[in-house]
Amino acid sequence: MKFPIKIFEDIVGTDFEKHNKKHVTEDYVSCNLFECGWDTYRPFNDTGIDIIAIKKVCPNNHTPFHEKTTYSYNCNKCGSSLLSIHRFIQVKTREVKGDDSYSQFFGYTLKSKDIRTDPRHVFLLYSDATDEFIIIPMYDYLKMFHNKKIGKSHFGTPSFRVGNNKVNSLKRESDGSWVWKSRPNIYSFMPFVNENGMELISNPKYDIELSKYVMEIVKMKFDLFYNYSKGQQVDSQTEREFNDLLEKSVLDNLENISNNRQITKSYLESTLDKSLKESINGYLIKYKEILFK
Amino acid sequence: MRITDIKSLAYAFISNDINVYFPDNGQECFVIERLCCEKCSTHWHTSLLECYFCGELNYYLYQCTTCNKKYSITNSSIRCNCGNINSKLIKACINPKCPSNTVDKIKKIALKEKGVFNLKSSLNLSLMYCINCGSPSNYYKSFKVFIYNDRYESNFNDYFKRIEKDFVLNDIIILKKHNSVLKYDFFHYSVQKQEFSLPSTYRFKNIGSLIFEIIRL
Repeated sequence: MKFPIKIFEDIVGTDFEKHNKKHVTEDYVSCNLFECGWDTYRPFNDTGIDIIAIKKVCPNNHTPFHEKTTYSYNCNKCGSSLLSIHRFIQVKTREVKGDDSYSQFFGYTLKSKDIRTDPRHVFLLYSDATDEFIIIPMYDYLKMFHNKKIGKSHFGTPSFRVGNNKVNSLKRESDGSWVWKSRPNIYSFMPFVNENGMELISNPKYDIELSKYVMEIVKMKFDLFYNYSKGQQVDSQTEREFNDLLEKSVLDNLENISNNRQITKSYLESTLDKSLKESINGYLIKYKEILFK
Repeated sequence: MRITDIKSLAYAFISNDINVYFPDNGQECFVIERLCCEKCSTHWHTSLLECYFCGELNYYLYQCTTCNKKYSITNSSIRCNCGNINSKLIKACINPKCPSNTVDKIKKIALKEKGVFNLKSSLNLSLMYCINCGSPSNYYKSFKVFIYNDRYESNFNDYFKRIEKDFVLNDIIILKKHNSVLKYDFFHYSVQKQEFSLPSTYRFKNIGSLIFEIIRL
C-alpha cells in the first residue's frame, strides 16, 4: 500500500501558511492513520500530544501496517489474540527549504520537555511540500544520537536547554532520499519514511516490553543530556571541567537527588516567612505535590 | 448522549490534571492520558524546571547575589535591602551547594543569564526526576473511556452490545447514576473474557474520588 494517501484531493499542503496549517495537517495525519486501521483521538485541552492513535495488532508483529483490525479479535496468521497498542504522537509540519535540485532541509526544534521516557511517544515530521511522513518512535530517535553514527548530538548544548536549538541537519536530497547530514557523517533516515515509519510504530514490542524500553531510554537520555557541549558558551577546557562536575553532582548522585530536594524544601519551609510562601504557592499551584504548607 | 454531558465529564478529568482526547471518527468514547512517574505514578510535570547541575527544583524565587536573601518574583523591580550597590536579584538555584553557586565559571554564566531559572537560561531542564520519589522514568497512563449514563440508557446489555466491538482490554466504562445525588462507579476491562453487570450500589459519591481510583490503575 502506498502511504501517505492523498486524502484531501482539493488542496495541497503548501496552500497553507505557518499561521494556519496546524489544524489541517494534524487532520491529514489523523485521516491517513485511520486509513491504516488506527483510531485517532485529538486533544480537548492543551497538551503536548497532538494525536493519540490506538490500534489492535498481533503481539507477534504479524499485522501489516495498513491492515484494518477494528472488527478482528485474532491474528489471521498465528491466531493470537490481538493486542491494543497506543501511540502518543507529536506532529511537526514544515515546508522543506532550499534548492530541490540539490538538497533541501527540514528544520525543527525540540526542547527538553519533549523528551519523555515512554517508547510509545512518536515524533511525526510531516513534509507538506513533498507529502512525506517521517515517523520516529522516541527509542529509535535517541538511539541514533546515542550510538553516535549520526554525528554530534545537540542534546547537551546550551541552546537545547534554552529551547531554541533549531536542527537543520535533516535533509531531503535531490533523488528524494532523506538523510541526516552532520559533517562528516551522513545517516539515512529512510527507515522512518512513509511505509517504513508506519511499520515501526505498528510494532507492539514497545508495549509488550514497556519497562525495558523505558529503562533504555532513560539511560540514553541521561547520557545525551548530561554530555555538556560548549556551543559558544565556554572553551574546550571548561567543557571538560563541566562534564567532570556533572558526573559527580548528577550522574553519580542520582540516588541522592530526592533526598537533597527534601532537605532544601525543609530548609525553605522553616526559614521563609508566610507571605513569601504564599507568593511561591501562587506559582507552584499546579505542582500540588510541592506546595508549601 | 449530549455533547454537554461528555464535556462535563471531560472537564472533571481535566480539573484533576488528566488530559482528554476526543475521537475523530464518531466512537462513543474518549481517551484520557497523563504522563506519570513509572515507579510511583505521581503526575510528571514537564513544565516544572530543575537545575541542570544539581537537580534542584525551581521555587520561583529571587535571591540576592550578595546576601542570599530571598524575594518573591511577583515584583521584578525591587532591590535587596542589604544595601550593596552591586547586588542583583536573580532567579538562582536555591541549593547553596549547587555548582551554580560554588563554581566560579558556572556562577559567572548563571549571573550573565540572570539566574538558573530565568526564562532564557541554559542552566535548567524540564523535570528529570520525579518530584515524589526521584525516579527518572516516566510513561503515559492512558485509557479509553466509555460512559453508561442512566439518563440516556435503560439497558446495560443493549449498551454493551453497541460498544462491544470498540471495547478492548484495559478500557473503562464509567457508570453514572442520577438519583437525588449523582453517583458513580466504573468497570476496568482487565482480564480477557471478563463479564460485566451493573452493581446494585455505586461506590463513588463524587467524580473526584472516581477519577482518583481510575488513575491509580
